[in-house]
Amino acid sequence: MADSQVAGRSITELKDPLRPRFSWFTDRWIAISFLTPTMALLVFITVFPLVWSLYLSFTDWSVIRDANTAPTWIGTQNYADLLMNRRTWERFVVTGQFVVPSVTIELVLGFGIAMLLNRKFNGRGVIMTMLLIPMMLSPIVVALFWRFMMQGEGVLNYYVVNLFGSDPVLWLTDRWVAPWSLVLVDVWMWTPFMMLISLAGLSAVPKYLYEAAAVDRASGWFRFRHITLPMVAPLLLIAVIFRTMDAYKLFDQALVLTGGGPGRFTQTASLYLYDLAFGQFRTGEASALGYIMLIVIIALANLFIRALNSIKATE
Amino acid sequence: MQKSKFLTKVLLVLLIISVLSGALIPAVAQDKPNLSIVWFAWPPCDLLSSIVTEYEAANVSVSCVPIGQWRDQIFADFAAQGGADAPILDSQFMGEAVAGDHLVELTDWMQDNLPYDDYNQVALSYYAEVPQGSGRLYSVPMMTDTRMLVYRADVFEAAGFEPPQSWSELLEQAQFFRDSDLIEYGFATHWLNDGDLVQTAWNHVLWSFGGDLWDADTYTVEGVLNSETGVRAIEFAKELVATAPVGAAGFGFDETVGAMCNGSTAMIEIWYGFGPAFTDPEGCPYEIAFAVVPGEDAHYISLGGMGISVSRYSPNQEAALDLVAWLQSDEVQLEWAARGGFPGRTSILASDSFLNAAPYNPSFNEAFALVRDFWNIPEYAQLLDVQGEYLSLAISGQMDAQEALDEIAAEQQEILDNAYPDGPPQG
Amino acid sequence: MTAQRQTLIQKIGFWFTLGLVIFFFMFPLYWIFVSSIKTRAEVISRVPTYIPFVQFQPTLDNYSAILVGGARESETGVRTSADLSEFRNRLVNSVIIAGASTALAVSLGTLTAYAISRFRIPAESDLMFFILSTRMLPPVVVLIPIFLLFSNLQLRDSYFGIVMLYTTVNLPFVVWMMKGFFDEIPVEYEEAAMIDGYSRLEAIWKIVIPEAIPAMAATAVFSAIVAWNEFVFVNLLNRTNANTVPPYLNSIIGVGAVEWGRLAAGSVVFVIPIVIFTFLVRNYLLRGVTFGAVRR
Repeated sequence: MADSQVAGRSITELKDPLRPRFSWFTDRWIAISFLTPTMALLVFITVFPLVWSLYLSFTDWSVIRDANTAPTWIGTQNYADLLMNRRTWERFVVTGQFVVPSVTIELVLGFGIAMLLNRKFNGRGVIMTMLLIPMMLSPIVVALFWRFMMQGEGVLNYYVVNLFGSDPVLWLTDRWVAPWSLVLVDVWMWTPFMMLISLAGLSAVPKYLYEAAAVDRASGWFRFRHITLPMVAPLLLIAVIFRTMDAYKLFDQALVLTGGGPGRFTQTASLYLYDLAFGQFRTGEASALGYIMLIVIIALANLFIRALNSIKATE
Repeated sequence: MQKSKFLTKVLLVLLIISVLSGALIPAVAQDKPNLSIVWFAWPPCDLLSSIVTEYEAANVSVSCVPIGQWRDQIFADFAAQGGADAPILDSQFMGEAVAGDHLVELTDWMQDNLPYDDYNQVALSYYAEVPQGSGRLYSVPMMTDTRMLVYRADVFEAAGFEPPQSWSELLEQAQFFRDSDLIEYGFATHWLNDGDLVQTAWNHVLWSFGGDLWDADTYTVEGVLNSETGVRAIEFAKELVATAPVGAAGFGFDETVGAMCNGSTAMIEIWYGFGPAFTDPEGCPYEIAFAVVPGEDAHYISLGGMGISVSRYSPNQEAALDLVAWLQSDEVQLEWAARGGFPGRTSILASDSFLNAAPYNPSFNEAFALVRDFWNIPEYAQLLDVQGEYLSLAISGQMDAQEALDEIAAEQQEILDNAYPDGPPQG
Repeated sequence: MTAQRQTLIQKIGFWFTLGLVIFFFMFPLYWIFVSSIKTRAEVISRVPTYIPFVQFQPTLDNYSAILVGGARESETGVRTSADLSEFRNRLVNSVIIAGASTALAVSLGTLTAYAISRFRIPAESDLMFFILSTRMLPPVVVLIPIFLLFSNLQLRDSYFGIVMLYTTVNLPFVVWMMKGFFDEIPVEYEEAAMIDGYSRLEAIWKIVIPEAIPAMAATAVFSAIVAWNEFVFVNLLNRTNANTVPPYLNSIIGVGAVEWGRLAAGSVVFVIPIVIFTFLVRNYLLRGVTFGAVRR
């Protein structure tokens, strides 16, 4: 349909060929002028700031104390201080304790829901689209919703007390519960993402493989283990990469839900960096922490990509 | 094909909306200067934004930011050499702001342009003078404030209680209420670790118990804060929390006001500035009375309130000073007092228009005579941060009191020793 | 007979599980909606109510408060609830900023994607990887230098600055998405047109762009959502001018009077466009959320 229309248009319009305009604008110039604005913006607003903060990370500069003085070079002092500091490590542990359970639960739940939805039934399209809404929302709004529900006398505790007869749960102020509340909110928001990708994977598994398995009277588990999982695994790994990267950056949700509390039991690396940079204004040290975070994420990404390649190689 | 046409329209609509709304931004007349004030979000900030609409010499906008972001925003703006022309800084921020040279010194200007001798000396010293005792002023008292006890008159009457005269009596009453059928909970305040909430709620308990945060002459925390008295003050606060509604360790201003106004709690303790929330019959339909926060072995109450300053980075410093002078004029001060603000001038504080403005105002002058402030040195934010982290854990029973105070003392001492290797600054 | 019974049990099990899933994901959304039409007393009441008209009398006060403005005043003339009319300005700002940055990102990004897709660019895969890597960057890492940059160039508190920033944030996404789409449009279309006497630019304008418009629209929607939802940068960079809804929603809690009803109404107004957009681009969702890495 689309093809014939385009073809038709070009033929009718070119019955009376015009002298091509802009022909002086060669491909080379087109390429340059199409690429330049994008690259300029990326360099100016991404690369240049990164280089600047790399420089600052080797100084003891503070943006409010030394606004009018040049930064003093202190070498790798900031990195040494941070890596020797128990707090820095604790922040990464908090981050890990958030990222690993969140991504795992999202993966399992998302894949499960995808298995559930991977069939024909009435209203499938509408239900699917509805389930996808959470991940499109602003993290601020999501966190505010949940904070409202997780109040001491909020709606969640009403059911905890009245249905289960237990004591109210201090969702956001108990040091053991609060980290899991962050996980719960993240699971609510991002399980749909895992579901979406899992569905794409599932629908790509050729039917004939299952039919062959049925002829062999293979068990459900066998089919899952030897047909479904291997076919879907590469896509799932991509999904895990995306989610891990995003969960690692967690900022807005934690800021609104717990603000890092109680104590610092939900203060993730991002929150700590923000506090160093714009609470205490230790600009140099904060820049160094930023680079440590960056190195960690690059290392993670490499690990995942290697895993992805090995999965693809074994296929 | 149908679908792609639909999406084409989406793109078009997006474009059209963006162009249209760009054209619809009202062009503001530029003959008057634009001035901005920044404060944190609470009723006096709303009141101020309503009062400045009457100012004719400039277009004034007031932004009321969440208390947790208040300091960060002001100092981030300083760092960017911009921000509000007339920021309202908390008294403890002053040391840091002056050390960074972000504020215009107002000593001479105040003496020439304002009824200087009329200012409450306590307020002037705490809000404006940096360093204290130097006589150099950097702000004009805008809002004097301290803490008040808000209680349910009907419930107290039913129990046959008078407002408590000491913290111990307050605790007994709170425990009585929690266990009685008169009302559900005893006492609530904001124990949340956000801004300076948990610190200001707890500090005056410590002071009234005879303890202290530090020795301000020698900058010593170790051994001063983590004393037996300190532990007693934390254990006491834990017992108070046990009489509060569920989740009280996470209460901010909202929840504290809410605990009174949803009828669940017999007493709360909060800043006078929140007073209007309790006199509104629709939002808070209970019989409510007010009293001075009690003492114990000593009697201190946390200082609130703050002065208005002029930013060094304001392009309109003259206009900003004119605005401050206007805000401090008799006429505006009387209106400020009558509508729920707390002025810094003794004549206004003694005026009928202040004393009759609200049922809690008559107790204010008594309470304000008992105020005490904490560290207003440039390291304030770091000290506050450390205290809040461990204090909130200890008060909510998630950390041992002694251990928490030891941690606070050790970390604060390290911050002070690093900043002042040769001892406290002289003079 | 047994087979039929089993399918019935399976059917019940299926719909029951599905019901649980839908409940888990939809409950918070419904709760916020229902809170937005409650009175102040009803919204903080401890017994939850769900059904308007039956369990409680709904009200549109919260919506009129945030869209029309005005605060309640007590007898002393003091406002007892925040004046939320600022929400309107923020909504307009959000529309301007999301709209302008999206238009810019999509137009610039589409051209770049075309160039990369059609021309031989030296070190093309490195270039694409570089563009992708800027997406992996934790935003807080560049927050400090962006803050300094914007402060020095006086770009804080300006529409221009934040629009440029969001454009840059969205560019990598647009380039990756559009390159994927252009790779699927056969080169022969343009080549035929150029043999017929069109110049390259005319071929792009008359042949390629019309083909790409649905993809551009979907990409635009995703970019708009990113700009619409962004909080960290705009909260730090913009104060009085050009500030958007998310920092505002965050700022109306903690003012001393629980305004959950108003907050819920603000959230609903803010979220409705997202819900509509999600339905519009549902067929592109997979590509959109995976940066074009996964295609159907």
